[in-house]
Formats: sequence, structure tokens, C-alpha cells
Amino acid sequence: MIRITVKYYGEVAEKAQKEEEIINIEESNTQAILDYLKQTYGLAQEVKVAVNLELVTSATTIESTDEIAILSQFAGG
Amino acid sequence: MKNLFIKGAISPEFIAISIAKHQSKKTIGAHNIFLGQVRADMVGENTVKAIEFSCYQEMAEKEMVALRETAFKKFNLTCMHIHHSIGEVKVGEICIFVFVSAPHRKNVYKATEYIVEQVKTNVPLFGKELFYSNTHQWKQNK
Repeated sequence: MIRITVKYYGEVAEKAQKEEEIINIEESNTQAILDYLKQTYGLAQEVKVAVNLELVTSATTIESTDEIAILSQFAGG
Repeated sequence: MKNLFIKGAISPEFIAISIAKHQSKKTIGAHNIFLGQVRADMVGENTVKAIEFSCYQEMAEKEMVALRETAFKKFNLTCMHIHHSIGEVKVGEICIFVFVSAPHRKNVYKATEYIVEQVKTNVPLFGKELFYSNTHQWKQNK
């Protein structure tokens, strides 16, 4: 079990109806966060995950002190 | 990076002043500018009236700094400025301003395209397309 703070941006924040929350997940990796998002908010795989300001594309080990952000599709420009 | 994010639209005056500031830089022989403007897209029966931009600021700034370093090296630029709007930008207004300068013209064309593509792909900016019907959808870069 790990307790982490997760930040939400863009459409993800809209769907979660919050910009940040503290969650408990069984496994210390990003896939466990995606599973939580799917179960809780129905968010599918189109979201992006950033760990300490870097995008990660596969399941990545995380620690409780990491900065985790869940991002919707980029739309700059 | 100075004034990376600008609240609301990027004004023509801001762009003009930015150009004027480069007149003292005597090694520059070519500038190139890209301006992105909010388009009145039709989505079904809805028409876009504005885009509300937001960002993950710490990561966006980090990505912009990295992009700046890469672009300077890759295209041998003398100067480079990127500004992007945050908040609401109405149809017809400017939301991104990329301005690159070098001694000769060839590199500034390539650099501008490269920078705009990288911003679209790598910088965590989000856009809510606001419709006249007071509904919205989230913009996705193609």
C-alpha cells in the first residue's frame, strides 16, 4: 500500500471534479493509478502520466514523494 | 523564460514591440514568425467562440526550456521567443507567438516549424473549446 498525491489537469480535472487528491493504491506503480482512475472516474487509457515532470509511457515504479500528474491530451498551439 | 505564458490573447502591439526590440541586434539577417489564431471550428451544430487554455506550469516551463536549448543548437539561432496564451482567447485572436532570428533565412523557416510542432506535442497545455451554445469540448491536437 502506498499513499500518494495525484494532480489532475485539463479534461482529467474536469472528469474527476478536482485538481488534486490523495489516494491509496496497492501497488507502487503508475499502472495502479491508471486502474484507480478507470474504476473511480471511468478514465480510459488516453490520459498521460507524468512522474516528476517527465511523461512515462509504461508502468513505472513510484514513491510517495514523487510528483504525479495525470494529463489529458495536449492542445497547445 | 520571460513572459512565456500570457494571460489572454497575445496582442498585435506585443508582437510589434517584440519585433522592434531586435533592431539593435546587428548580426541578425532573418526573422521568422509563427502566429496561431483561434479558429471558429464547427463541431456538429456548435461553433467555437473561444478557447480557454490551461497548463501544468512546472512541466510546461521545463519542456519549453529544453525546447529552447535544443532549437538554439539545432538551428544556430541568434534569438528565439515563444509566448503562449493562458486563459480565454476569442476567435480571431492570437494564442501562440513563435519568433526566431538568425543571420540567414534558411534556418529560421525550419526552426519555426520545428518549435511549433514540439510545443503541440510535448508541452502540457490544455484547451477547452467554448461554444456559442455555452457547452464545450476539449481540444485535441491533430
